[in-house]
Amino acid sequence: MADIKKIEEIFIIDEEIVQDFFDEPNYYRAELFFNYLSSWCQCSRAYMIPSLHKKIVDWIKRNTSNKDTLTQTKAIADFKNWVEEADLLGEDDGNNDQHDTELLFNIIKLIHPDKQIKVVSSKYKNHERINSIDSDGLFEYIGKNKEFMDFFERKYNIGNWDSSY
Amino acid sequence: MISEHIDMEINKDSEVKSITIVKGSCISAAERVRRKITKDDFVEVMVVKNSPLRMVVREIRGKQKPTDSFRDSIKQAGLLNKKFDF
Repeated sequence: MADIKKIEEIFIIDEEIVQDFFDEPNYYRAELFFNYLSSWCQCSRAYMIPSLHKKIVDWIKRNTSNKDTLTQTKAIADFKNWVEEADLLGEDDGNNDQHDTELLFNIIKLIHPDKQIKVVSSKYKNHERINSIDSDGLFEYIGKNKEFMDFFERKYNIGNWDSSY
Repeated sequence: MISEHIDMEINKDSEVKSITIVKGSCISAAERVRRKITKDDFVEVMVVKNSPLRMVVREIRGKQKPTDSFRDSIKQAGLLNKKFDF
């Protein structure tokens, strides 16, 4: 089998698509996205600003404090496999998500000028300087990638996905 | 060859230090043959702190999605449908 051509895209995400992965109703959107990352993108992890990444890890810790160590640490390790703390931002007070997201976008754009960078969030829709897309738009965008969708549906033996969900 | 310690005991007190899921196309052809996976399958490399750190490698082949394990972790941890409240 020939190697699959990997797409040179880098995604910056916030808590919205992660929340989708935790939820029953919108799980399929996040699942499709994370599988797209793993199977189709050179950068197989999404970046997240450090303050938000820490909030999610702390939230998992807080909400699994009654669970055993294996269960708690595995949930955190799984999250970290898919979502990488963008520590290239260094230390910040973490009080301004928009500023940190813009900064992260600009840093990645500078070091990867040939790659497409997308910010997945509804918060920055129509932002003039960063290329933003919300979960609905992301689902539609991936759904239009016929080559990936054919692969995804064939590999996991699922019916045709309706990207108009 | 990827070294591994699948005979180690993983129990509820074990601490998972990291999980890295790698596509079959990223590992050697020999390793794919040994693990009976294709270029489109995955391997999950889990590092567990069990005095000392150990590496556990699991094949994610066929119709198993790489995201399935994360979803199972969320269910096991009782986090399904919980809303972030920070």
